[in-house]
Amino acid sequence: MKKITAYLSICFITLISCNGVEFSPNQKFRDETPQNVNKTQIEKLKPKNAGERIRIAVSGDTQRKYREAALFVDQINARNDIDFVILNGDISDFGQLLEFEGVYNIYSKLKVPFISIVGNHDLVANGPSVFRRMFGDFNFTFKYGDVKFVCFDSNSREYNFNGLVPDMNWLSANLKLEADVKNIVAFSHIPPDDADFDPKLRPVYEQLAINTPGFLASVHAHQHSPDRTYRPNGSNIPFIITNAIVNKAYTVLDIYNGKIETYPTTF
Amino acid sequence: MEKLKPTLLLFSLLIIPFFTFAQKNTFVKQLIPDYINLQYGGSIGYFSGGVGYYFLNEKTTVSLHYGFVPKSKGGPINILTPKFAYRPFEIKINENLRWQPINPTIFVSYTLGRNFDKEFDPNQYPDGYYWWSTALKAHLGFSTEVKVLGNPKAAIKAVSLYAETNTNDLYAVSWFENRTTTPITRIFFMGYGVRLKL
Repeated sequence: MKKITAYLSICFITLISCNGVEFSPNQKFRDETPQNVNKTQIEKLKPKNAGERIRIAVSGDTQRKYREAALFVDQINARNDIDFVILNGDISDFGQLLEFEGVYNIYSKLKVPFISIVGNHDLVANGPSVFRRMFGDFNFTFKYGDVKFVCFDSNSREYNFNGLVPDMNWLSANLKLEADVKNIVAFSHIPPDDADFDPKLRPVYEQLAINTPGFLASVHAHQHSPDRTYRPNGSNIPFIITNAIVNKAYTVLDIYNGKIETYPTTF
Repeated sequence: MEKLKPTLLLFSLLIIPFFTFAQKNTFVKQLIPDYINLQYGGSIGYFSGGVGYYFLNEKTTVSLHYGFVPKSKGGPINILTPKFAYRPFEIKINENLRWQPINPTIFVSYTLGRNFDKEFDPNQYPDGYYWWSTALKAHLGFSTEVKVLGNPKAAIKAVSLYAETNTNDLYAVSWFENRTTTPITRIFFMGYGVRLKL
C-alpha cells in the first residue's frame, strides 16, 4: 500500500507538470498564440502632438534571458517617461514558438506599447512563420508625433546574401517624408557595418539613409556590446548600435526638435 | 497532402509485410512488431503512429513513430521518432488490469523539411555561428500507462492507454539559465496514446 501511495504521488507530479499538449516544438502556433502583436501595439500608442519630445527605450536580443527581460520590463514600468519600447530583433534564440511566447508574455506586462523587429535568430527553423503570424511583417513603418519609424529586416546572412535583404526597393519607397512627417528614424537588427549585413548593400543603404531628407538616425542591435555610433561617408547622420537585454542594457532615444540623443542605460 | 504521400507510402510499405507474411516464416515472424502505437500530441506530431517491440520481459520498449502536424494545427510538419521506454514497475490491479505508474522515456525527434537540418549549412554560416540542430531534438519523457489484458489468442492481445509528459534539450537549456525564475513545469508538455499489443 505504501508503494502504491508512492507511485500515486509520482504519477500526480508527472501529470500536473505540464502545460497542455504540444504537437511539435517547431509548430508555428497554438490556439493561444497571439496574432498581429505589432499592429495591436502600434494602435495602443498614446497620441503625440507634433513637435513634442519623443522618448523611446530600445534594446534587442532577449534570447532566452527571460529573467533579464522581466527586469527590463520592471525598469521601464518604474519610470514614467517612456513613450514606447522597441525590441530590436532576436526575440528568440532557436526560432521556437515557446520562446516567442515567453518573451511576449513578459513584454506584454509593459505599461507602454512595444514594437518588435525581426532578428537573425528569429529566422531559424520555423521562426519566420512564427514571427509573421504573431508579430506581423518583417518590413513595416509607423508614425508617432511628426516622426516616421521605418523598421526592416536586415538579416542578410539568413538569406545567404541573396541581394534582396534588406529590401532596397521597399526602403527607397518608404524612406520618404510625407505630410505631417518631419523626421525619419530607421530600426533594424543587424548593423550595416556588421559581417552579417549584405556587404554589397551596405553602401547602398548608408547612402540612401544619408540622402533622405529628415533622416535622423539608423538604430541597430545584434552585437551585444556597449553602445557605439558611426557616421558613414563623412556625414553627420548617426548609425547607432545599441547594447542588448542579455547584457542588462537598453538605450533611451530622445527625439526633439529634429535632433536625436542617446542615453545608454544599464539595469 | 501531396508532399506527404511518399512518406505515408514508405510507412505503409514498412508495415504491410508484418501482417501479410507474418504467419509463414519464423524469421519474418520475429520482425512482426509486438505492438502498434497511436498517439495524440506529445511533441512528435498532432497525431503519430508507430510500431514497437518489447524486450526484457516487456520491461523495455523500442519503437519507431511517424507524426504529422497539419497546417491548421501549426504545421505542416513531418516528424520521425525512435523511442525507448523503460517500465520499472507494474502493479496488478485485477485479473485483467495492469498499471505501469511511471515509465521514463527517451526519444529523438527528427523534423523533416527544408526549414530543418541536422546542422547549419557551413557555406552560409561561419564555424560555430549557431551551435544546435534544427531537425534533431532529444526528448526526455515520463509516462503512466494502464494496460487491459485481452484474450492471448486474439489479434489484439492487450490494449494500453497512456499519458506522457516530455521536454527536450533546447527547452532544458533555456530553463536551466532561468531556473531561479521559471518553474520547470513550464517546459513539460503532454501527449496521450494507445498501444495495441499484437
